Amino acid sequence: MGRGGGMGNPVNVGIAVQADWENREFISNISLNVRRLFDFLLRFEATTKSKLASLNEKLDILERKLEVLEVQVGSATTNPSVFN
Amino acid sequence: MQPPQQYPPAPGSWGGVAGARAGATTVDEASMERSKSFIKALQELKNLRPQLYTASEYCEKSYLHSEQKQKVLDNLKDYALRAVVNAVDHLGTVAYKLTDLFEQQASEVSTYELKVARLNQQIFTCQVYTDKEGLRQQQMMGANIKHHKHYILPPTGYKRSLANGHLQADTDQESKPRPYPSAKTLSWHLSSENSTKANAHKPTFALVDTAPSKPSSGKERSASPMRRPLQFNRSTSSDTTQKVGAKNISGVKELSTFHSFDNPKGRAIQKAPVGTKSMLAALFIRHKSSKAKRIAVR
Repeated sequence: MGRGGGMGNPVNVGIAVQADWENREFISNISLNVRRLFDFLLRFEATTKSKLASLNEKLDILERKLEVLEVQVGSATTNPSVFN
Repeated sequence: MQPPQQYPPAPGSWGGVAGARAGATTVDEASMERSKSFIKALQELKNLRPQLYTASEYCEKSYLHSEQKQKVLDNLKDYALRAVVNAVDHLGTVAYKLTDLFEQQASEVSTYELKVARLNQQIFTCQVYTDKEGLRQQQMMGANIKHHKHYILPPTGYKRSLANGHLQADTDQESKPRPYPSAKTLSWHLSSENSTKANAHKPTFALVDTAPSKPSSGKERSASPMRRPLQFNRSTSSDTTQKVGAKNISGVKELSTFHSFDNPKGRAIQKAPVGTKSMLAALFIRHKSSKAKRIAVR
């Protein structure tokens, strides 16, 4: 009886240990992938912000150029003798 | 609970009518559809969060209240994995659509930049044209100015001044012998030099004439029409009278010496009232010539 009980206990312990290792591996994989996802999101945010900033700058420059052109065209229309 | 179903993105209607306007409208519709799909994906991603929270609560309750915990745990793991994968998929879709939309906007901005550059170039061309036209007009004005009277007068004035100068020179030459005026120094000196040269030539000739024959020289002197020669003849006649007296008194040498002495004295007396530098120079020249003659005689 004692031998039968002793033989049953090691197997159960091994199974329990294996299950625990699998759980730990699963958890570590999940956490690692979540970190990767977090890093991706950070990089995406940075690149998107920089692109938006450059686009905003271009738009500002275009606005200024358009204002200058409007002034030049306005002066030309008000003083047509300049082009005669 | 079953995992939420994924909705496929709405397909874009790329087929359209040919032509510029149809193409433009198609491009506009495509851009609008892209914007709408992005907004839809973003909305789904936002809705995914409460679904995940609901799923987590369900898993927790089922694990606590069930008797077969191992089976429930395995099922919950699978469900969680699929939920996470779904969330990541949605996130990737949203990121892709955002990037696509950004690229579209950037291309539009670059197109507008090109248009603005074209307008700038056109305005610059107009300015260059106006500048060239202005320069051409200025050149035409400059060409006209060359023929203006203002630039023709100076040469005629210069010629007139030259003519006036010549006339003045003539008047000076005419007026010199009588009053000996000093209007212009250069012309006066020139005329005085000419007169000194004439005077220098005359006495040598006179002396040569007087030496060989006395009466013939006297006649010639009286015959000369100019005033100065007449004066010179008078002086020579007085000299001859003195010479006759000298011969009567002493010998040939003494007569010659007296003659030489009398001549310079008489000349000096005659030219003293003039009192001019040129006359003094002529006097010195004559004195030198007389000295040379004395040496020759000796």
